[in-house]
Amino acid sequence: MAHAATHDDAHGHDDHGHAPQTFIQRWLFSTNHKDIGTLYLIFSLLMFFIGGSMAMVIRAELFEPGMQLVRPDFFNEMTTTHALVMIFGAVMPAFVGLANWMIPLQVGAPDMALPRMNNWSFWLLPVAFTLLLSGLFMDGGGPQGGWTMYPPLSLQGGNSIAFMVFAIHVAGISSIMGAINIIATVLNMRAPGMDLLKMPIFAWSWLITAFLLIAVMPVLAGAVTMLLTDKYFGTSFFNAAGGGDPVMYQHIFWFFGHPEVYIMILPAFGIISEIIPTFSRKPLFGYQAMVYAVASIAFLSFIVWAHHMFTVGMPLGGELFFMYATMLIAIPTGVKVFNWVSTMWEGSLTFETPMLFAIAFVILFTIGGFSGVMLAIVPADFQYQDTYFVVAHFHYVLVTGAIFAIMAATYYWIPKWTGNMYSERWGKIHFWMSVISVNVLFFPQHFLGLAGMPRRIPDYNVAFADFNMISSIGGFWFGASQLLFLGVIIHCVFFSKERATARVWEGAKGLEWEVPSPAPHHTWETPPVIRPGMLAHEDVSH
Amino acid sequence: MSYPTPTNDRELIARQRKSARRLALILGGVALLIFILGFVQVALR
Repeated sequence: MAHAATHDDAHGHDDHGHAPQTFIQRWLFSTNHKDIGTLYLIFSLLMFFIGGSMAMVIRAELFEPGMQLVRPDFFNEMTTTHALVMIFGAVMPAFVGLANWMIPLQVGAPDMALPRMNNWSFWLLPVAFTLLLSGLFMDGGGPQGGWTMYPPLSLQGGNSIAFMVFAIHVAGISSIMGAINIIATVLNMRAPGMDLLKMPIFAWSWLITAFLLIAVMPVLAGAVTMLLTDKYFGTSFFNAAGGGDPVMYQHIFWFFGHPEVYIMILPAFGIISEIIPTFSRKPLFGYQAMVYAVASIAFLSFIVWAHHMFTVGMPLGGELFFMYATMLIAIPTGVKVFNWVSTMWEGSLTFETPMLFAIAFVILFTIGGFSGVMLAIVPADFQYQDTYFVVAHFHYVLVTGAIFAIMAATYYWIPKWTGNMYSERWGKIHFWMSVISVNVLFFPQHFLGLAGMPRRIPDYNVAFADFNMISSIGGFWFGASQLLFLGVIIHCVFFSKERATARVWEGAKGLEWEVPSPAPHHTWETPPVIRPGMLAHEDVSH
Repeated sequence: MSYPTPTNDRELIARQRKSARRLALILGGVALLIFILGFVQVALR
């Protein structure tokens, strides 16, 4: 530690001999991984609130039966755009932002491998989401066919479909470039001595995620391009009247869509695997098993796509294959859950805000996993298909899974980013408000689904009124709680008087804790000398 | 393939970046190939 601190004092400095930069030069032309990481995180937070406002519109309309606030077509625009904004604008960029900030620090690299491409990756995102959101202000309204964009429905709207397709192209290019950068950084830029099986598990989970992204984003790009040519250039890829096949679209879409689910959860697994050992003051239980589990989940994610479309009609053998393959995912996922619990077992636990979010993740993500196994059962899925049970399932996975992990990561690393401690008291208030309200919001949706309430409808039978009202109250409560999150971040960045130490957390291990807080603008320009005791996972041979 | 030990940090980082650029080109090519082959496959179906 002493050596590393000296090392960094000598080489981790802020000025780097450059002329002073203007605001525009620093942020628009930045090639610094920390600045680009910050840009990604700010963009993601903005999108989280835009997508969240759309969710508020949806829950307000569903507060009671009957049509109250919005037209049905606008309701459909909200469900479609909420999903696209949250997936491609909030969750994915948040993880890329975390990767940008932390992976070079964790593996001992001076920056990402391709810094100029990194700048381009980020600045494509505002372009993509301007295109997407501009659709809401066009004649004919925004896209209304759901985020899955199934033809022929998605092709029946106005021209905003074209904007949505281009937005997906641009966001997809951004994701692919980001993924290439992460792979190149992890595989080529590690400090001497940072062997792959000594690498922090967050870097591992992102390495595997990045391969998933490169494999499936071009598939989505291909599918939506075919939608575009079907609508505007007279092709019949998915038009049955012209010899095409609309079910083909669903196969292609979900060949992308299912790995996409894991793109949004594997980095979360990495974050939780960093946080739980720190606050348990124990090494991660089963480090190698955790790496292999992430790799197994990534592999399996390619062979389960048709479980999203059991009801379109497929041969019995196909249904059985996709059912069993899907259930198989529970095994590596179970390995991870048991390893997190085993890491906590007999640990010297403390419950700072990141740990609270991490524990909530383990419990609530597992609930989402269980309902996932229920949905994998073909005859049961015939009942659950397109009901609120599915909505409850994937929100447990994505909100209490992915988003809780992003919040945990923010609380965990923000002292390293800003040099200031956040308010633990308000962080904990934010946590308890979020964890209670999110269950009030999504748990009743299981019952609604089991009772037969379909998804993507603005009005419903009065039999569903009570649970919808409870769910909406939970929704407004959860939405309001996130203003606390914003408040805690603003306070930490601008007003906090409590300075963070280099290591920040007593039990934290790894190279990112060897540099001062805030992390200097340039770090590891001289590769760190890795010494015993520095890394969280050093001796994995036994 | 084995490389001589880098003589200094700058050389090490420069070598890492060169290798990273090569890998990035390969990965970008793979992504483009998946896009094109996917298109061709569906079109020929």
